[in-house]
Amino acid sequence: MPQATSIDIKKGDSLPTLTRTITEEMVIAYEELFERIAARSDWKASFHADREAAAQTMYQEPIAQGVLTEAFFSVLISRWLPDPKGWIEGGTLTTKFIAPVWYGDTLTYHAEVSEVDSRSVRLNIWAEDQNTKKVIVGQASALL
Amino acid sequence: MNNAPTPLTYEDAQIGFEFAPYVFHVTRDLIDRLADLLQEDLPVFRDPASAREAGYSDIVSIPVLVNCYAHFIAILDSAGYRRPGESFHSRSGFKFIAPVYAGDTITSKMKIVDKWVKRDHQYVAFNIESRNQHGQLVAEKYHASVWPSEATVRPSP
Repeated sequence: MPQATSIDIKKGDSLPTLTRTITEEMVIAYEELFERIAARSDWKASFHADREAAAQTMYQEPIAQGVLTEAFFSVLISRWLPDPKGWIEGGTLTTKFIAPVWYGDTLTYHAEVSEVDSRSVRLNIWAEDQNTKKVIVGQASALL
Repeated sequence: MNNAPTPLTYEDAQIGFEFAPYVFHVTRDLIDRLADLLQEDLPVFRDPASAREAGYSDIVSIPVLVNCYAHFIAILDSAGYRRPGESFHSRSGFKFIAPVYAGDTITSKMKIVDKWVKRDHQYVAFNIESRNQHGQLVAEKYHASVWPSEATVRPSP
């Protein structure tokens, strides 16, 4: 993916998109990586990674963790910036989850420059599933 | 609120309540596994020489590692509470402030900052502030979830 140079960045620019298929294996790996470490005393697979537990929820099937699906915005933005330091030490990300992401969904991550000056860039961000339905919307910013 | 291990229901959640600090030790394995999972191949997250060339002392964690060291379930757990079953993530907010390395010890403090009802769903929101072993602020996080009520978690006999 090509990286931007700060002088190239203009309002309305679109970042190169990033596509990821959210697999059951990915959801379980994330569960093992984060949820198990987090819930130390009585960890058990959540409705994200356990089909029986998911059957008891309003969705009835497992859905991917929001924290997993939003994490790919970090990949999208850090790869595009002239220097990822502006993301690691000064990035912001806000997201709203507007539709569930199911096992096997292929998400395409988008970002468009909404404001830019000599020190920072602001982005409108969103992710769509394979049916072009938006599943996450939000904003991000980084230092230049 | 008390420190007994109990579900934190919507009714229990008090705006302004601060949970006990949560301490997390960052490992190289965790950093690598997150990079693998996200298929992130940027050298600063993968290669120590490239990271040093970029001005860092070692590879840096992908900033969204904050979801591990500032995990609201872990903080609830360490304070004697647990997530009350079915709670769905609604909104997130992050501010990435300083690099996090393997070997860092991160202390996170979480506070309930809001609760509300919208379209028959109840929500609870938390702010989490994380500092490294030098006291340096490394990240701030906002997390809002659909949150079960007492009636859902503790049905009447």
